[in-house]
Amino acid sequence: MVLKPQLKQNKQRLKIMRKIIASEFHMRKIMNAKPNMKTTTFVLSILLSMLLAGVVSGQQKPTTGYAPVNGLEMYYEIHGSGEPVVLLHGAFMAISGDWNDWIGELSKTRKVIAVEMQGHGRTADIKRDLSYENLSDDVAGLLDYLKIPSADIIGYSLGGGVAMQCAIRHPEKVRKVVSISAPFRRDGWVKEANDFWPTFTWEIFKGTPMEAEYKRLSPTPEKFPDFVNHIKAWALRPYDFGADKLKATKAPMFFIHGDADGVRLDHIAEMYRMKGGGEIHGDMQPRSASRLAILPDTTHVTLMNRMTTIVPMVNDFLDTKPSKQ
Amino acid sequence: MTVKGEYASVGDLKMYYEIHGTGRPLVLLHGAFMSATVYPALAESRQVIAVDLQGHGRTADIERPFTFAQMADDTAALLKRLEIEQTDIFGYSMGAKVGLAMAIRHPELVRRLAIYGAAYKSFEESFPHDALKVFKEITPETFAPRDLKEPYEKISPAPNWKGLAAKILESMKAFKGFSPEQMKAIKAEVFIGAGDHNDVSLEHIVEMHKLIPKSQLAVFPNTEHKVLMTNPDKVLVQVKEFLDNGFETAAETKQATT
Repeated sequence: MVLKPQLKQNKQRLKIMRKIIASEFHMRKIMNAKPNMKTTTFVLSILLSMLLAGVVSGQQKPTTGYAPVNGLEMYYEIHGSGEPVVLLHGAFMAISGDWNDWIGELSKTRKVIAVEMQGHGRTADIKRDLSYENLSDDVAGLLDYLKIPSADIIGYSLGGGVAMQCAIRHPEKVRKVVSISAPFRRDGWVKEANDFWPTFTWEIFKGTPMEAEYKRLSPTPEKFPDFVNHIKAWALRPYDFGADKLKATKAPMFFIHGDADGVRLDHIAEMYRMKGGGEIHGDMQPRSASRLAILPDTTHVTLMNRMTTIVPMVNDFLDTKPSKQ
Repeated sequence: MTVKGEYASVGDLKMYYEIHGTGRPLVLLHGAFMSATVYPALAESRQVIAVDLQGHGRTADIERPFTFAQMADDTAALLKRLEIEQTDIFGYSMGAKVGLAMAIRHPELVRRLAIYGAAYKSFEESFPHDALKVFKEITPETFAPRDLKEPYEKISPAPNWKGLAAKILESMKAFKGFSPEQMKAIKAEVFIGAGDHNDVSLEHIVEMHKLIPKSQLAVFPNTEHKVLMTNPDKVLVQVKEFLDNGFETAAETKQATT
């Protein structure tokens, strides 16, 4: 088993995280007085949250492996059994920390294929742009390699974008999409989030648990600055999946957001409308196959703490059979 | 334990209300055609005041049109009579609009307001296009869902379903909406709940959230307007969390995301 219970280490990591979070809250207080610095905390808090250590529970041993896909040696783990669902992490994340809890919860009733995307975790980076298109092609390639004809796809943040891109580029492979906190265009993010990236350097993570986690998992532990810069280069590039292309997708989509998650609410409404929602009186008209949830008082970061609310919603969505027309 | 309902004279109205339990007060405002509904999910450790609004349930109608403002004033007057200085409110549908009117007209009375299934603008401006067409075809003669009509006729002191339906439809058509300024001036903390298959367009809900300074937004998946009558806990678990705790994390980042 790749993920051994490491209670002691987890406890230590938790301690470190608590300190960081405490100082982060302190920083936030200071930054409220200086609104121009708010963006840094906003994104920092996103990044830090991804490292919160979860206790690895003693679950059944997953199948793990590396799939040769588009020049990558792509690391994956398969947990549980049932309908296949691919789980895609956010930027800077890996199969690690809180994400393990999500895998554990979802794999109670389905076959979860958790991956580590290019450059992340145990999947070494290659000389190729990080882009939604490339990463979605990798997911399709992995499904081919595993001989899984089609699957549901769940993605968080960057992974949500990749999940939508899978439905656009590989429609035959995608049954349903769950996108958590991801816009389909650069301007779907609030201005503060987009303004952050140009000011960002890898040193921001120096000495953080994120760096430690990278070094623990990556086959190229010395390349942390390169990895961060690679993501930065991606984050600075404009992108737009195309409203018409999203609209043309067949796979039902479930958009899950927080009411303060860094994705503009108007963009969320637009996205949901592309998939046939937003204008349906459910008491009077047939439902759209796509769904929307917005969690109150919830940010990009705290969405990850809402697993017990979100997973049942996701299961209900994935389990619903398409209604007969 | 059975709770005995009471009547209070509020202006010309003999208004029916029930009080359940003790704790921080929570006023429950029912939807059109409905009556005082005490949701167990919200009642725990609360003094619940459930009312029957004008012409609804056990409160007989009087010769006066239905308006959300008047219903809000009635409820405020009742609270004064009960010596309740500040309360939380949960309002559903028509009751949600009455709740908004209370937050606008009686700001000192309302601490937290949770609403589900309401728009702040007129029906013309907030209903989805297709639903509006259906809505416009409804007449007092044709509108008679059994799940609303039967309970009403059982408890009304002077049942007159067609009269009630006519007055409700009239009040819906006459409602001009609250103004953006009124929404911006709301002092209470507000929870705006909606379904992803609700009777109000999503853009409108978002707009409402942007206007009300201290508001949070909850959209429930695969959920319709009627959910409070069929599966209320789907919504009320979140409502309860808000009523008890208010804002915890996101208040300060709201500015950035809207």
